[in-house]
Amino acid sequence: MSVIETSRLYPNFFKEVVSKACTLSSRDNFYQCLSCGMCSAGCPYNGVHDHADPRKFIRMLTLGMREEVLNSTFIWACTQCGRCTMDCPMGVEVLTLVRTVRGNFGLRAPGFLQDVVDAQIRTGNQMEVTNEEYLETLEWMEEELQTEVGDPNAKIPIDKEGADFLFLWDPREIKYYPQDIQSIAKIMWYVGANWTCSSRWWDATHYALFNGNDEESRIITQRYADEVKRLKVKELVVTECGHATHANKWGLKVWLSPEDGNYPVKSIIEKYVEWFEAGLLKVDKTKNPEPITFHDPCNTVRKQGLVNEPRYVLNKTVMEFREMWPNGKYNYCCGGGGGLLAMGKDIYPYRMAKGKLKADQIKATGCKLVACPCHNCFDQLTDIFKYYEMDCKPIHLHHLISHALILEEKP
Amino acid sequence: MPSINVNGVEIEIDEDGFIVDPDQWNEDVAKYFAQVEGINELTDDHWKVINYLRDYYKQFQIAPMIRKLCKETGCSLKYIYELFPTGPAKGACKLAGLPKPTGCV
Repeated sequence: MSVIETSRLYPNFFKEVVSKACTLSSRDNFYQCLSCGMCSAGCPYNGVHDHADPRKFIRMLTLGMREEVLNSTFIWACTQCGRCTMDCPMGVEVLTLVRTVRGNFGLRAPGFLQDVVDAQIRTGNQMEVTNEEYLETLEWMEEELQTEVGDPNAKIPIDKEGADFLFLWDPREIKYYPQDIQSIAKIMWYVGANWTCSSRWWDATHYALFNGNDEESRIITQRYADEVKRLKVKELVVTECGHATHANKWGLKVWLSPEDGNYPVKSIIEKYVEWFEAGLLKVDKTKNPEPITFHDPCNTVRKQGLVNEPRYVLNKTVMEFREMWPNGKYNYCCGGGGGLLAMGKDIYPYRMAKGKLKADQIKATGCKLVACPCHNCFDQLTDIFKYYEMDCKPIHLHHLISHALILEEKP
Repeated sequence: MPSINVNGVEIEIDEDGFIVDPDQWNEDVAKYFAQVEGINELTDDHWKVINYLRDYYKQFQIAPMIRKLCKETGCSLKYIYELFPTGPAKGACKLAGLPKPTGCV
């Protein structure tokens, strides 16, 4: 039995955390905790591994157990998936408290999470791709696309002023998976999108969402606000990446001034829906005959409410879509969210323990293919499949669309 | 920290199976990783890619862009995937003994 020593408590600690929290919610809500435990019931990992009890975390905060909170494993093992927060009847944003503690009390994240943020601040992207390498890769994929579709007008526009939207990439696509660039550009070409990439700031990802450093978040977000202005585009569109979708949609409201943060941000999934509805996307479902399930990235689905959009796309694109359970906003995190994928060996056992839930969910569907519109979840799923020896494969929505396009019917 | 034993030498690997110290790499390590990544036999083309990655990493302490890798080795992207089914990042770089790149790969 451990003892709480009142002499070691910091009565103002919780107030300090709340005052530093970056949120759209009312600060009063943070004080409404009833200790009912709905959060702990909502956390999928409570009972799966140690250090997964949000109610304890909140109790420690409210009691002023500063040292215990700052040294806790909980704050790093939490994927900030938001399921506890969704279930809280009083609107206590537990995930916000986790982020605030991570980033405002001089802690350094485990693993290489901070290195990733440092690289993005310093070089403009988390993988330190130089400008020349980036532009060369886009040009290369443009040539490949032109050969693939036999149209010299298939372009990957850069710095096109007045385009309808500015498109942000995940640096994984640029650095390690250039075929993704071709796949996405093929869809843009097919629907005749008036789009542009930026030559300056193009990395959609945002790991400062996970280290909790608002100053770094502000710097990163401001870059895109400036690019939207410079290129005079109507909206910002983010590639298939969960946390990038959330950080760009939510972030402009919390990190930018109202004058700067006033542009629409969409996930490319929303654009797929628009293009389908406008009759611009014509796909042959029989090209995707295998049964496929869908993993809901928490940041896109639970936090940004894009529940129906990916399902609409799948139903248009594949022959047999099977839901896993639970799904939609009740989904389980892949286990690699909240920056855990960048937290190295100490957090790895938690990541794999969490992954067991996802592995079981997928197994129950009998599907070998898992649609996943998020690079982070994509990697975690790959790791899970290896770890639990499953003969499964994640696939992005754009892959399913781009290889099923009916070229003869291009609008 | 997990490790692998290649010819009696303990070699430290990270949680994703990447080598921790690139200086511990040798050809037998590549052959060991090949097995893990589902590659039956390492052909001349495999070695061409592996050696290019090693040389580049030695010089710049970072993995090259895939564009460069394809250009310098004369392999198309498709062919790289045929050689290394898990792809250039998780496959080729691992065999070449590069540490796991930071950032989400």
